[in-house]
Amino acid sequence: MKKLAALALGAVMTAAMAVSAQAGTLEDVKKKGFVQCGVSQGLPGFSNPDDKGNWTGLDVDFCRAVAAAVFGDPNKVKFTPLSAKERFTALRSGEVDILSRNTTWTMQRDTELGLNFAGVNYYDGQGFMVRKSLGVTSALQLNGAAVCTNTGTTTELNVADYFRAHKMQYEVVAFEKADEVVKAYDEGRCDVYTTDRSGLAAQRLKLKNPDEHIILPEIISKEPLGPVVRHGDDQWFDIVKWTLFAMINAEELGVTSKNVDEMKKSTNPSIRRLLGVEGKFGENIGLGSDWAYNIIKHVGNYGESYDRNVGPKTPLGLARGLNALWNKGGIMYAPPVR
Amino acid sequence: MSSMAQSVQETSAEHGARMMRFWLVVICAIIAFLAFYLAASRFYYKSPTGMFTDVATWLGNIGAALVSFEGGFFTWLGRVVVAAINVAPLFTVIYFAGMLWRLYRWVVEEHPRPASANPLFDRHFRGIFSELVVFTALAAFVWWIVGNTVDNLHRLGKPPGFDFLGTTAGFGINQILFLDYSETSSYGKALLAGLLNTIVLSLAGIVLATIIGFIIGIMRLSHNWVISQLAYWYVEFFRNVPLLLQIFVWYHVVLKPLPGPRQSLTVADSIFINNRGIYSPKPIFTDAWWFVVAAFVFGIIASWFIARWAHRRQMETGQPFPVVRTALALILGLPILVYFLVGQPVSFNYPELRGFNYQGGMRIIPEFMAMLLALSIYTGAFIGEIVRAGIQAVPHGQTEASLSLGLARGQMLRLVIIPQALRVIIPPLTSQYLNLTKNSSLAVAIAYPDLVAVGGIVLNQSGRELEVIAIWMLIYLSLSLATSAFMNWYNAKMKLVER
Ligand SMILES: N[C@@H](CCC(=O)N[C@@H](CS)C(=O)NCC(=O)O)C(=O)O
Repeated sequence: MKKLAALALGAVMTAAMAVSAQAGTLEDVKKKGFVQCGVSQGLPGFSNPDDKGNWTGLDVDFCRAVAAAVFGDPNKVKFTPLSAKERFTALRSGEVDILSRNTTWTMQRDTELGLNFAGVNYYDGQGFMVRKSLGVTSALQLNGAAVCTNTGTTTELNVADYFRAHKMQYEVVAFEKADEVVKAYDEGRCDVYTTDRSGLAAQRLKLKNPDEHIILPEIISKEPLGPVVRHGDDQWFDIVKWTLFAMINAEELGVTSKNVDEMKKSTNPSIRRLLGVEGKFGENIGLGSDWAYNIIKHVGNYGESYDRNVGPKTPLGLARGLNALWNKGGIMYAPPVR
Repeated sequence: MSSMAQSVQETSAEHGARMMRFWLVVICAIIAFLAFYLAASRFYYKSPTGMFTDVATWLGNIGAALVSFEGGFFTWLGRVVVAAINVAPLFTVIYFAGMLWRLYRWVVEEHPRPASANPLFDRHFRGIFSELVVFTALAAFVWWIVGNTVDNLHRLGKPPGFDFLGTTAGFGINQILFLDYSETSSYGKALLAGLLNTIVLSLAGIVLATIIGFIIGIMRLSHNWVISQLAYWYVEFFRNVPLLLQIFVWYHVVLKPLPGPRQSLTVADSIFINNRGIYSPKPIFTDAWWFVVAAFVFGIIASWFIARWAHRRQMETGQPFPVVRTALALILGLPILVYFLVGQPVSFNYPELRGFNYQGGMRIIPEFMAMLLALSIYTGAFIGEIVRAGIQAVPHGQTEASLSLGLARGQMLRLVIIPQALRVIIPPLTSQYLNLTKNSSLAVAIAYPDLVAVGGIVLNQSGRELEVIAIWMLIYLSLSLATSAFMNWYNAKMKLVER
């Protein structure tokens, strides 16, 4: 909380200064030598530090991809763990250059809050988790339940809408820190834990007995999660946006971290443009021609990152579902490099 | 005396001084004008007349906004604040005009002048001049900051204002007191709910901390070694463990061992304790209940008059009167009597297990319990030390004197020791109350929806950092000022005893 207040004060101070730093994020980043990336305070599979403080996850990979695009080095990135409540203030006040932290793209955030969403790196929806022992099989049986969740999220708004729409009573217990939510739910303060379904799959791993809990079938909202930048710097917005598109296009074109060097010799014009063999696409967004090559070489394409962090072979075990490519039954789709 | 007549006999030294004063006033006027112009043009980047148009529009809107209460009220409130900011330069103009007028008077009027011809050695002039300089600097600084902020927020597409307080909040709050808040209520009402939660928690905390503190303070002075050591270790322990840690420990101590709703601990089949809180029957009053209330109020008023009468009689005749017992009978006994006479006008709504949780009745949520315990136990340790110091500050001679006057031990404590100790206790006690109120903002850590927790949600969901911070500061400032005002009043009252 102190941190939120400090950040908010920072934002106010920034607003009070004569010239607020707006444009020129790329120059700033190059000058300081790393990308400052806002991530969660620990959500396995998405952004999670290990014992040694090394961050991994789908959202972390994205930060590394931006660093690779700018510097050719995926390690030139620093992470700022942010609670859901602090994140936008931190981004707007310039504390971080990108927010890559399971953040839902909503109209209000995209407009009124002064943010730009660079795209979607995980299509999600909100769900409910309960103890198996309650014998509940549908969210519609949750009348009168106590619900634990995070403050400053779309989650706390959706849950209010859902219960009201179905004329059900509920009590919301909203914590700022995700770990406190897990703890309170585990200790029995709530009957239900609600957040994005990917978040449920991740947080469930932190429970004492993950097997005693089930995720109910209902998906009560659309939660397109993606990286965010602040308004007012189109160049930086383009870089972040096309970093994501490069990863998705690479998967579609079959370019992986393993074969990217051979792929440079490919005759497929789409691949040649992506890898900077043809055209000046990198130069046009202020980067080197090998921007996408570096992303793929060091971080991998979207599919590789997905499988490594949240896919069926990981503890989270999330099937690709909606997040499969558009031509493989999902809705992951990126505009072409041309 | 006319200045013309005087100037005729003026020596050249006097004339020089007068000219110097004249030029100083001119310089002051230029400083004042420049400062004002800079500040105002910075703030009103559009046009100076824009200010008056804006104020007129807002005043016009107030009437319309008042029509619908909730959204309208906060819109209205916001407009008043913005209008106040806008007319501030107007007041500054008036202020500068006043200052210049004072300077002018100083030039033309006769004041006891010092020997020196240099006006900077004139106390009167120096007073006006330094005030002007300080005020100008302050006003320029404030406007520079405010102007920049407003400019930049406009550029970000977020012009400042409090209109957002009327927007639908959309989130739930798990403790609503004295209000009918729901998810469809406004941000303003959500903040109000948070404020009430802060006030209730702080008041309960203050009462409990005071009780704990007095007990600990008195235990600490006990001649019994075990008791005083117990108090000593209590103070040392709770004073030195960080409060946030204590809050977490209490929360999980409260939560963990308690059973779920279906296995609640039950007291007399009407009070239920589980990890969702403490549920008790809720009294429902019928109309006849007002007789009981009336009897209670009557009891208080009657006791007050009796106490005054008894006091006067004792002063005149020396005859004591059992005021406390009479008052107790009137304030408690009478209402109880009436309660039975009008046929027990209260029924109870019992909490009952429906679905996942108990519904109905009254409920204290675990977050409140944990906050209350942590705050009062922590602050109680500090108050214990204050009480001990206060009692020890009363010289032993006072005890001896009262005993030799023939006062009983209770009388001695009540009439001699405690009034004198309170004089020492109250000022530091006030700061403990203020601390407790401010510390209640740690509630956000364990999901107790106080002003900071709810304000944080509003800040995040609406993106209105500046406005929410302003509201926080204003409210905590007012709460603190109100607490100190009350304690100062109490302190002043206690001082009279000294005479
Ligand atoms: N997608 C939602 C919710 C995001 C969110 O904060 N979820 C929580 C619960 S899964 C979380 O990520 N917590 C991890 C943390 O705070 O470190 C939003 O953007 O508002």
